[in-house]
Amino acid sequence: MTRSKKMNFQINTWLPIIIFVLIAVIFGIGTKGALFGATNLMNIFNQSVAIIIAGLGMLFVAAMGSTDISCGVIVALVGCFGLMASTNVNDFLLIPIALGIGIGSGLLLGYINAKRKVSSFMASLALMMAYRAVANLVLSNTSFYLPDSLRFIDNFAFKIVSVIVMVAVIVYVFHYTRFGVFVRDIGENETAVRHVGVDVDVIKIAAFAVSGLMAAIAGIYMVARLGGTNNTIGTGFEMKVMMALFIAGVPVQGGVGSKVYKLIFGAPTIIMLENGLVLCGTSGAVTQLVRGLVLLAAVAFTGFMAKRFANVGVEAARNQKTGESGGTE
Amino acid sequence: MAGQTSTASANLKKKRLRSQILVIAAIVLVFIVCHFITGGRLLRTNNIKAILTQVTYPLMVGLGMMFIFSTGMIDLSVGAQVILAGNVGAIAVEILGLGYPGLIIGTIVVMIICELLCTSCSLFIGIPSWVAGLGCALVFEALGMILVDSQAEALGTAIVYMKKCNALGQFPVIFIIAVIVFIASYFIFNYTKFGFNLRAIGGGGEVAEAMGINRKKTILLAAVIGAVVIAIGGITQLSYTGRFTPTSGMGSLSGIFKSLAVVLISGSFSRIFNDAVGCLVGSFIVAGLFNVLTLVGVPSGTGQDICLGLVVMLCGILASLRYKGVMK
Amino acid sequence: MAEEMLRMEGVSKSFGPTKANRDINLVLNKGILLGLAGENGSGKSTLASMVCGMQKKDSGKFYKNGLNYDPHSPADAAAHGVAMVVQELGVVGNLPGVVNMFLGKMDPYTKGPMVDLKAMKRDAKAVFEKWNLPLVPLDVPAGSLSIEQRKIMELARALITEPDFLVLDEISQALSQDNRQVLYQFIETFKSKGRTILMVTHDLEEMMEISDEIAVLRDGVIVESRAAGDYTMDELKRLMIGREVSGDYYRDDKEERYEDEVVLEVRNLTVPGKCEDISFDLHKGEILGICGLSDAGIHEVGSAMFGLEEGRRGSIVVKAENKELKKTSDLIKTGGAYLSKDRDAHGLMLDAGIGDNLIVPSVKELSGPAAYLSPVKTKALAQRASEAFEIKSSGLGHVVRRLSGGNKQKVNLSRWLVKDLKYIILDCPTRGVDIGVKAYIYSVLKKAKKDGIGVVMISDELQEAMGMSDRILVMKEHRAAGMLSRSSDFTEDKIMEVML
Repeated sequence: MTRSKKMNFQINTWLPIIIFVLIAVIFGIGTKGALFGATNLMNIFNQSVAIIIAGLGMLFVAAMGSTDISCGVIVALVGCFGLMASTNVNDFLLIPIALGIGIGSGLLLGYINAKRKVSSFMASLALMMAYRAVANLVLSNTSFYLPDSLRFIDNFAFKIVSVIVMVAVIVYVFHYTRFGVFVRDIGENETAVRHVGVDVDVIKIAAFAVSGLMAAIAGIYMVARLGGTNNTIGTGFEMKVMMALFIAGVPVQGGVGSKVYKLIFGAPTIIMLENGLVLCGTSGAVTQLVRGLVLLAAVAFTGFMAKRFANVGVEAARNQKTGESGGTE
Repeated sequence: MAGQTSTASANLKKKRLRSQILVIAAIVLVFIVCHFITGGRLLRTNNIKAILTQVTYPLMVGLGMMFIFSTGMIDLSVGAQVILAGNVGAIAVEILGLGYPGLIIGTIVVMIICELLCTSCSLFIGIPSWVAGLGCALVFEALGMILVDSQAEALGTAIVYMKKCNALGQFPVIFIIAVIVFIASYFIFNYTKFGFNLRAIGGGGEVAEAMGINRKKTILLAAVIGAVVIAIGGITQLSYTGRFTPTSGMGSLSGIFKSLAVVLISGSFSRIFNDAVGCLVGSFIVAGLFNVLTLVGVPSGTGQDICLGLVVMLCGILASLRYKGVMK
Repeated sequence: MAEEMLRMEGVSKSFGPTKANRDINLVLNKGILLGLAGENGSGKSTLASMVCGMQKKDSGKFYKNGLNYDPHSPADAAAHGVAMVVQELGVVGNLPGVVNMFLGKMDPYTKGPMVDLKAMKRDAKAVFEKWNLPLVPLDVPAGSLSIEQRKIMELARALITEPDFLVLDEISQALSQDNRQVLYQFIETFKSKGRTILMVTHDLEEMMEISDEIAVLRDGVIVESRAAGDYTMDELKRLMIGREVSGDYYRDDKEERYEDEVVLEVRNLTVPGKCEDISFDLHKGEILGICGLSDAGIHEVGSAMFGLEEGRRGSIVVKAENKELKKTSDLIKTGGAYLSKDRDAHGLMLDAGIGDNLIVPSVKELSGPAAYLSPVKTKALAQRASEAFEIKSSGLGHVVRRLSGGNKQKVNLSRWLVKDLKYIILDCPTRGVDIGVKAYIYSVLKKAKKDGIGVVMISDELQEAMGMSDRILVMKEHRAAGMLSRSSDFTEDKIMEVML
């Protein structure tokens, strides 16, 4: 039993990397090597950056077993109001406005979920709806462009350095601080964390704020990449981020299985998948079809692995619970 | 003891009735106030007809979602499903020339298949229902796009327009259909074995299973009934508007947002109204609200969507007002 | 000669490493009530739930009326004439009582598409009348009924199928004195029809009174089974525990002994409808037991002190710092700890490793500058706790779900006791653990007492409270009914007198 547990554990650990390699090989062959052309690799990197950044934030929410599907529309808001401010007032105003939008939206979502007990999925869905309408309202007949002074954000060197810094910071916060520990523990058993005197609501709200913040930062990079904004920016982005997490084995129900490195492999995996499909000449609809199927398969697979991993224990514990609770009242 | 018992339950019933009258009176009052705010336009005969038409789609989809959500499945792919199913129905009418039977059978059958697929993802494969809903929504949206792209060419249009068979979307037929669907749903939910089993599964799955209720069978049956109800809503809506535009990137969600608001309102009224009646009340609130917004000139797509988002949020908050447990 | 109703032959059941039942052989005749006696974790509920079809047995056989009986579900058991009132089979709160009673049995009432609610209600009432049970409101949601009403309804629900074998698990605990008499009356009528009852209860006096036969389970094995009249109370207890009640199992001193310094001052603690006006002082080095019937509000006192109950009034002051406890975090900050009675749901993260679980309460103390949480330090702490409390596992990564109940409780308790505590509130600390771990927990409590920690021990086991406490606060109907001292008042009779 000990042996098989160890085996399973290692498969779970290596899974993100295995899937990454698998997808790379499949589409590498399928596109006859076009996937690994210099321009395309650059393309994959550029797209992965935004997903990794937003994913770093969403990881906190996912680790709690919650979800935040408002990140795509936060990107749109950043493009909309951030660029509006930088066009009309000062170029650099984009950054504080973006961060403000991200944190503000995150705090609101966190408050609604933690204090008002609306499921984070429903709440972020409603926010997404309302924000998208706001963005449409503003962008329906205008568009904004990135000021030249902010072009440096899309510079390769700047991007790679800043992403590494952000990953380092999040690794530290997520894996080496009590905030990170509590976030994962909430995913395991929220009530237990409450019972050790931790103010779970504050942790939750903070986690949503981090998620909003990182989504906004991702928004800055996307706007910089695009050189401006339009009213479709960020659509479907939240699904990509979620898939980057799930395909790499971050459990949907959260908990101690949530790890930063999984995202780092998951993000390029999902971009390669989409990019590979486009290179193979599939239409947008088919790409979306594959995206949906992959999401379902990824979640089913991680769930299956987790169940196998704890199978013996689940059975015994369930029986034990019924056995005990009867005998003690 | 027996005497006490009957007075206790009579008191509870009386209290409930009082709350019911109060809520309905409040809604009527708000309608009357809005009538004056909109300069006397809200309760004009034509506008009442419009409201009664606008009530139908959120009501029927809401009722269908009530059946599905009662089992604990939060499935938001129904928006994508109804678009796919509706387009199959429209194609059956316009391209295959099958008339009403084609429209009705095509839409309902496709809807049932879609909903069963989505429910199975959650029930048999163990994917959390909201993720299954998102994944399936992507899949069904994509299928809808592929289908319409391939068929619309024959018609020489970008999407499939249903020009024939639109009698079901005319007032008062559309409203009568909605009323029939509501009554049927009400009885299924409150007076049948299936309805009780369904509510037992939703209220305490383990106890229900131990009492000999087949959980999987009940959930699948709920999916089928919910799908039929939603499909009827889809058919009338299709007849009314003449088209279901395929969406991409989860755009289908916005199509069922009003219904979601209806279900959430019904949830927040759960102590006052029975769930089905709650849906009816909810759909009048939602339809009335958006009618008023249109009358006062709030543009649809932007301003109204903002309101919709806020309404869903507010209803969500109201629905979980007394909830004390863990909310993910 | 009495006829045989149910025979068990070589029935065994284990949960992972724990053997809940081993080679059970038992015969129940027609027209009798057999009481199953045993301590927590002795396996009596497991045995009962196997008879009901709630759990499958690993090996062995049941014979009912001479025929092989192997129920795979409660519904199947009902088809064989076996019905039950057990805790796992509660009511569905959002459905009316009458629907609850006929859940899964509605087929005869289905007329066309509709269910005949009137006929169901009529038949439900008939059941109440037939067995002389007090009628409960049947058309309001079952969730709005009191626990007592629900229990009576569950009993009526069990009787709908006209069973000839009834399993009653801790039913009388929820009942008031009046309704207990109703229950006893019912039992007599039921037996007089040649039917059989298997009953599990913690109330030994009740068991001695109403049982025809008593079987004693200890560590999953039947140690004795004979006519109820042949037992004396002391003998029964000795059989259950397997040794004299005194000795090193509980404390051996006979006097309350604690320092004068007050750790915690509780004044007028009130949670409407749950506990009323509770006041006491907890001293340094004192074990204060809180006892009462299960719905007397003893558990709520604990959760209210921790700060989980809404609408709490009154004050709880930590004397050393003169700080009033307001939120859950205040309790932890002032060197306190609280262990809920529901270890799995409220205490542990079942799917995480032992190490992850052990460090949770200490995370705040362990984090250094910039909130840095050193993996070396956390691991060292987990290692220390795991070794100090002899948690049997394959390492700190061992998933908690796979531990036995006793070891789970060790994890739950040790993660707090490695800290520098001033007081601890324990709600049923020995619930669902085997006798060895139980003794171990008592030794840990004795040590904590010696170290000057104030302990509030909420317990639904009178023996345990008497064996371990310096003083016992007895509660009755949500109120404090008396404070008894170890030196003078610790007899079962005296406590029961205050309690009832």
